[in-house]
Amino acid sequence: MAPDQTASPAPSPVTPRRPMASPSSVAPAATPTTPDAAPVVFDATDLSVYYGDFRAVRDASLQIHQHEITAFIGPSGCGKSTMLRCFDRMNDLIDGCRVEGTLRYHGVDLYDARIDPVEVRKRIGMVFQKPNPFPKSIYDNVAFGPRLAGRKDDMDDIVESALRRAALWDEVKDRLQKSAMGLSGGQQQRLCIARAVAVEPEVVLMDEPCSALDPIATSRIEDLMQELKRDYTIVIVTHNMQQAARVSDRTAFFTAEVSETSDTRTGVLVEYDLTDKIFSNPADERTENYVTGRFG
Amino acid sequence: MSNVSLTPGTDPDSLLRAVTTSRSRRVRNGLATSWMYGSFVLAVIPLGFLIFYVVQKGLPQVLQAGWFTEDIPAVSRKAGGGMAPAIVGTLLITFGATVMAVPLGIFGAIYLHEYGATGRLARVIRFMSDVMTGVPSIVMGLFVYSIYTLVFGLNGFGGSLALACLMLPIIIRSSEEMLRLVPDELREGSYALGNRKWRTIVTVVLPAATGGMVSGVMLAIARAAGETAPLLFTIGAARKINMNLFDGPNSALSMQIFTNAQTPFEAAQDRAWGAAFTLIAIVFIFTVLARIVSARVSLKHS
Amino acid sequence: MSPAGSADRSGPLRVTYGAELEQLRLQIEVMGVMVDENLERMRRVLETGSPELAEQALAADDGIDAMNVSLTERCYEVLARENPVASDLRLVVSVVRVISELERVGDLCLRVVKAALDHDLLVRSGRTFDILAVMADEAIDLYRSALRAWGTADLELATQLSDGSRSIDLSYAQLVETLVSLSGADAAAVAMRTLVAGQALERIADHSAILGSRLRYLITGDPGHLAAEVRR
Repeated sequence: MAPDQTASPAPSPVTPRRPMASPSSVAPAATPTTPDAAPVVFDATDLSVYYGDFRAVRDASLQIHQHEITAFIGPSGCGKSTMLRCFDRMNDLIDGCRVEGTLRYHGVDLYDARIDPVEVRKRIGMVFQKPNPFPKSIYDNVAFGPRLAGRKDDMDDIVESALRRAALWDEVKDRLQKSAMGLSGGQQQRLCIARAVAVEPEVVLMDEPCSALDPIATSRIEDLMQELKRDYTIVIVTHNMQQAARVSDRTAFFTAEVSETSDTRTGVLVEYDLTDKIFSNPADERTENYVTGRFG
Repeated sequence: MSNVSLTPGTDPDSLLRAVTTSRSRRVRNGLATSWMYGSFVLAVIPLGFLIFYVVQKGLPQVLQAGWFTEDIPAVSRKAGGGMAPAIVGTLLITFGATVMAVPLGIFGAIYLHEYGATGRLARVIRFMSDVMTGVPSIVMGLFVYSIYTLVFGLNGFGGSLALACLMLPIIIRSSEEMLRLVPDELREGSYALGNRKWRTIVTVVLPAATGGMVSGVMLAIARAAGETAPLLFTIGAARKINMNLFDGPNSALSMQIFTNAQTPFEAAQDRAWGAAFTLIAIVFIFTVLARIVSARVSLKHS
Repeated sequence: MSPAGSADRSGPLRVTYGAELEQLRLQIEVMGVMVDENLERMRRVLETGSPELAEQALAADDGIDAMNVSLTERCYEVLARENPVASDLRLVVSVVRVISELERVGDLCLRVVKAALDHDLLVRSGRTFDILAVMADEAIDLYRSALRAWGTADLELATQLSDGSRSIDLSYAQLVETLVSLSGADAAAVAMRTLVAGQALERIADHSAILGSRLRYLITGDPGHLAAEVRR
């Protein structure tokens, strides 16, 4: 038993913070080796994403656990966002994009021919890098999703509850009918989070949610994530390593392999483990080089 | 050319010399500015003259009692009378054209931008639409004459058809532009919430593009209201108000300007000026309305 | 497929940060050498009882204390400004802890020097004095092994240091045995001085072992190696 734990706030009880039992393998597609109690939400096996002939992500295998925050880190062009967008089938919107391998959501193959991507997206929400509120009122923005689902009664309660969960209620409760475009960047992003949670998804995917925000807004959203993970499962892509270290329970490090023949970059999952391990004693040298920041 | 080195010395004198404008540069700057101003004035002069003339000649006519109510006199020589039929005709015919062109144009633009994108059919439609923009309006009138007027006779609807053909490519073009201006992030945000494509268009894209599209439509209307050539072959000439687009010849302000200006009678020519003033006033009002609408909508967005 | 980084990154990043880490490594060695020199002085004072040498040792210790302060400050700066993680973080934290170990060794060295000033007392009992001399040799050897291990990042040597049995323990046991059986008028005085020196030397050996254990953690990153206990 380690003599002293780091003085960070206690995560959800299911997250183990004990040291590693055994070092991860150093094969390019690493899988986590800690036994864990949290049920698995997503199970990706040898997932590859192609844009036409170009392979953007190669053979990624990992598992996302419930009520945890999982971070994808890595340099640009290494397929983290592409990987993230597989989870809610947003890649379908891009022409010529196809996915090979298996991605299971609670055991169901997400890319089965019978699956309707629109239904998938009702259960797996997404928040984008640049806040994208609709040019409608704040109220209508949050009510948009529930109205889609056919909810009509107690819309006021739904909106208030979602805004509270996004830590935005106190700031906007007196101007719900005003345009959402009048909010600051950080508020807009929290509005987008409120909009996403208003439909009660199980998973919230966040693609660099804080990169367009100032440090204070960023801290607010990071605190928000810690609260949200009690009710949702969160997967976040981030360029900011310190943010991944602060916020996530598990971290997946992707890197880009450059093909010598065609000069294209293919993303590859190098290491996926508890965040503590990745940032204190990563198994792969490439991970160590990246997180220390001294070798890219 | 002042000899300024790339790295001037940092003593106050040489630094000052390096960063202040030299005399030759100032002269050249002044010349260019005067040239710009001069060109602008030159361009505005004809417009100024036009407005002056039209107001001077037309306003007295319009201010006469009965301009907006009386029928067009049968004998052109006679003074007096009004332009009521022509005003009503212009408004009716333009309205008819709008009702046909706007839905087609907007849905066409939605198809082009949201569904067709770069597909073959979309490219063909876009190309044809661009070609249509270039078709002379008189040719459009001739076309409608041969397929409609010869069959159904002279009536207001023929004019509406011709005007609609003129308006359609403009509306398609401007609406597609407006749709393009709606950022893709909004669509993505809607899809991410589990919204289908057509519902995204209806609930997110169209509301966001409405301001610009309305403005584009109003400009198309303003343009169509002033067209003469397509109406030449299609609506005939009526002297009394005709509220039925489908039955019998109709009149329009642009037509009245055309016919009245060609007569040698002063009374008729005065009426032509009055009609010109009225037409310009209508177009002006529409343009201003378009500005107000688009400004209000963009204010809501900011 | 070439490994990531070689195609489009031309060299190391965060150059200033990397240079500062290098400096920390070097300065730790410098401090280690300063302590080593003082240990040499300590040995000679033990042999000769020279007050001049003792003065020198005392003065040199001031330098060691000053380095303690400045290096520690540098470490805190790196922590605050550069946000080190993984092996960099282990390095900085290890440097902070090693600084304090070296400082302790320096203090213990001075303790022996001060005891050795009563040279005539110490040499009164030939046997214990010999044992002391042997102990001094053993302690200095162990310390130098630790320095060598740090200089070359020698994991094997570090492991040996941290859990090897040491001959100095036997010598210490011998010393205590002999002291207990001392007799004579000055027996108490001799015994006290000798014991102080002997304990200090034994502690120096302990700290050298701890140095080995810190190096082990730095290299392996295994939290099991964090506990720097010395096994006897």
